Amino acid sequence: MIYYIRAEFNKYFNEIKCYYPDHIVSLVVTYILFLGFFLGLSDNAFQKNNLYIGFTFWYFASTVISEGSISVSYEKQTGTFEQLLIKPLNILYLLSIRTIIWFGFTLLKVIVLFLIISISIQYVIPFDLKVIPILIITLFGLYGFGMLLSASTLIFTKTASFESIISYILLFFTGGIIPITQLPKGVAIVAQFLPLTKGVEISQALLAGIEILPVDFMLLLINSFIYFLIGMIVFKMCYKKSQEHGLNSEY
Amino acid sequence: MGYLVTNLSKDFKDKLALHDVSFSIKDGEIISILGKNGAGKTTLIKILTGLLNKTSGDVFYNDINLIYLKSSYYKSIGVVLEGDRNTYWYLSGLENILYFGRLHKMNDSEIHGRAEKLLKHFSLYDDRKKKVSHYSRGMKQKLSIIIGLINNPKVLFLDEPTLGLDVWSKNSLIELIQSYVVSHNITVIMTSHQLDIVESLAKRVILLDEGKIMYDGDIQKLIGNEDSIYEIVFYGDISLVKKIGRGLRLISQKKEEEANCVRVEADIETILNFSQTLIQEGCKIEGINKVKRSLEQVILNNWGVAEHDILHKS
Repeated sequence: MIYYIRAEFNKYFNEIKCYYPDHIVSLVVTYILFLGFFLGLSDNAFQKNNLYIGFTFWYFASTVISEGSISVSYEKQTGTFEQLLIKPLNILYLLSIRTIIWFGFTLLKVIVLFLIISISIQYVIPFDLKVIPILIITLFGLYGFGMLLSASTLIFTKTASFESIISYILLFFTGGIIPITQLPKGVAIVAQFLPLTKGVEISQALLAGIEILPVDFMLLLINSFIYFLIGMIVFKMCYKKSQEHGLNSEY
Repeated sequence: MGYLVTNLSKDFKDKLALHDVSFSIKDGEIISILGKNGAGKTTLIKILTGLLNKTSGDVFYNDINLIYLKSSYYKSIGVVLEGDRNTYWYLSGLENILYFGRLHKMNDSEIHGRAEKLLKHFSLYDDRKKKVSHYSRGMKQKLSIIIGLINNPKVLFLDEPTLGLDVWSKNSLIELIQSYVVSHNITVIMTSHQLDIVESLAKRVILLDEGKIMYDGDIQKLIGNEDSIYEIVFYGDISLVKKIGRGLRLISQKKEEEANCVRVEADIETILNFSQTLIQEGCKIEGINKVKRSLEQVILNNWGVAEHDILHKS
């Protein structure tokens, strides 16, 4: 595993070095967005924390769900994807390593940004260590979503529009930005089952000092496990299909 | 040991890409798969490399069915796909080699050791730290081949290895590939539309047409078994060629000053009989020269594959 991690880490690092202006712009945009949450969106500390944790979770979720499919799409278009398929490691394993490494880079970016924000606006960003396992379990389920997207990219190549739709659904319908209680009833029921909702809800409660019931934790675990399992099964099915019909490089 | 392909077929929804194909490849053989566009070459390569599943039949590598071989098989093959599709352009040549070497579970010192040898062999050592985006087409192709060889494979698949290269780069690359694979006893399975390259690199050819094998055997045998082409220069009535040239196949005829220059295809006995008859008819023969046949001519003559189909891809 260490060989693959080193391979992917170095590749990402060199990619960042090569396209550094793009990454600087992304960093600035993210800084402005986060700053907006801490400065202007709400004066209420409780609401502010809810927004901040919701947005942070969504930000990580976007990375986890999109990295695999962006990677497949890019490599299919440049032609290197077939080279990866004829290597001794399983392609899903490789995509998982890529997602973990890219998540690591994103985490580092967010930590740096929070430090800069804390210093620049003299605001102590609330944090509870218990949020970390919640985040990890939530992202585990979201990676199932990511595998679903990667699977569709195996067939359709370009799935950026799907990613945008899913990303915005997760942003607005998981209780991060808009409380679930304010959503229309039908939407609220569906939203309860989205992979991000429970994680955001538990983390918001943790930051507010509310005790977490074991049942909530179990629900999060089950929810994430189901999404992960579905993602893996669908990916394997689509991969098998692509091996039967050939990789479709059409758009 | 090597490959054994038995009754291999691949059926796509609307097309039978391979139909009951059987052949074997011994270790260290250099073979080329030829055919028109859509003949089934790429499908065959993709099945042999595990990129595509077969519909029926079997592929054995070293007596083990390919369906049971996964990572161990990929450790023993190197694949160079067509075009610029094998490398990351934002990385340097060496970074690319390191990346793909690590995916083969090789440690860095092992990769560096092999990379140095290969980069020197393919004359790319001095440019190893340049980004691939700054490489010429020939350099990119050399790098792809180095990456294909980094894991010390027993089998190397080359899909159009010289496509888009100028004549100098093409010849130099073929010489480099040949010297390396021969000295390391690597099996090479390649496809190419450039038949001069096939002729100079491969010993054996498998000719596919509409998913079926039309010919499988030695290239030189294929060329040598053919009736030969002769160029006969003579003075006299050119219409005699059609009148008395029984057993000859007229390829071309032209007038060079006063002399007639005809190219015919026949065995040597027929040519000698024809020459004697020409003399008896009062013609003066200036010379008879045997024209060396190329693989391309043999294929065009035998299977009627149009030249543009062989030489150009869609």
